[in-house]
Amino acid sequence: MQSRQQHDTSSHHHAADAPSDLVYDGLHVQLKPTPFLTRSLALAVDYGILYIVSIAALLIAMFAIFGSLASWTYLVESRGFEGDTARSIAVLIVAFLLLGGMMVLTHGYFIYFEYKKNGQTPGKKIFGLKVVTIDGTPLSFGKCMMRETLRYVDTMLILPGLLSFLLTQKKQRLGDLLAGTMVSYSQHDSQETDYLYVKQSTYLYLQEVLHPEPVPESDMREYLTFAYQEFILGGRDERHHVRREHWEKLARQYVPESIFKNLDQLTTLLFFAEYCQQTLNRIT
Amino acid sequence: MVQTYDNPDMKTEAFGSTRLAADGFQLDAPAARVPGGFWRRLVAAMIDSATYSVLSFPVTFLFGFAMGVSGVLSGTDPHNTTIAALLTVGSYLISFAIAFLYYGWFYKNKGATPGKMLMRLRIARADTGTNLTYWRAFGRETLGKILSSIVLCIGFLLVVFRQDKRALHDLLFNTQVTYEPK
Repeated sequence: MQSRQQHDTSSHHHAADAPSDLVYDGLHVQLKPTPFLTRSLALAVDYGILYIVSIAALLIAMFAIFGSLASWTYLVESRGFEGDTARSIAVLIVAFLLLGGMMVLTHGYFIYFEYKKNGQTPGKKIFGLKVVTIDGTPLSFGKCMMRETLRYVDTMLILPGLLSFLLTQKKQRLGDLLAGTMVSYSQHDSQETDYLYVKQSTYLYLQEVLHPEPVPESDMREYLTFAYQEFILGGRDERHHVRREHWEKLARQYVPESIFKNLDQLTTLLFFAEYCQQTLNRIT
Repeated sequence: MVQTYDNPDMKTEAFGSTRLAADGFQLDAPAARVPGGFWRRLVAAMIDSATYSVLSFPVTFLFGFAMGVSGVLSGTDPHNTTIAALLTVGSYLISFAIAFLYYGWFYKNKGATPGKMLMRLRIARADTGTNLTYWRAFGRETLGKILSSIVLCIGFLLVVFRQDKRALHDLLFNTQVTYEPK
């Protein structure tokens, strides 16, 4: 964790990752632009969700589609077209309706989440990304529409969007440039769910003031075998209750005695569990 | 005295940076998680496979294109089959590599793939609760799931019948999927 923080501060000096200075209501705010890979991943997740939803919608709408084909053919025939021509026209009409439906679904998804859900589609949310305006005003419906319209240029032709992303300091695609928006990235938000026992901010703070001593890997595993069962799985395994004193002793060994005395016992146990968890996740 | 601490930037003002600042710090036990249920995990797996196919689309597309071109250029030439076989093997290898990176990176670093994150699920080693390694993740997703699906997907259905909701691939690779209720 220490090294991550250091990396965080050092990257501030790096020109390519320079955060953008923005002024919101007189407050000076720094926003970090999103790296390319993270943004692509978020987009892939959003497209993955849309893929599943549209297949489900198609399966459900299958009967409606075939049903409407017959009635469209009937309607076109009643306008004086012959059999085969009428059927072709009806197929075209249904195809356009399907295409229209898919477009409404795809663009509706992005516009709904970006406009109504604080600039975050589900894909963006899990990676800590957010669409924000450059001037700090709330994200308007028009701006969302603008981003969506330009998506065709940005993703289908690929090159313009990529070039604009690489060349602008705030890493904006063409849609962002024209709408006056950018996609900001928060490392803190994206790492919020990495913590099991203690909230991220609490953990980072406690780690700074407690300075636990280095713990052998086997002891960390042994301690976590207790902590995971007890705190995360809800202590269903009765055997661990009996041995709780043993686990406490283990935690006591590595968290300084004075701190252990001053701190609430449960707090120390939870913090030590998170410390082992984070350390093990990093080294294995 | 109970102090709450939420914003990492507040620490210097609120507590100073001495060791004693931890005095009176009191945390509640985290809400216990429950084993991840069948439907929730199914939806997560669907989102993941869709995301995986979106991510591997460029590679699949390129290989398909190359196979088409090689077929057109060499016509009925018997050498063509060698090229086609090589391309097929290559595309399989690259698909496996993408799966290795996708599941490996997310299981190792986040404890959940995007689909699992969206469904509030988390995957961990069943004994210590730590994140999976790349190879454990890869084994679970390939060998484990193939074994689970062999006899009428009975391995997946174990989720429904077991109390800890572990499927065959969870048992084989010692993993536990948990759900965090809001």
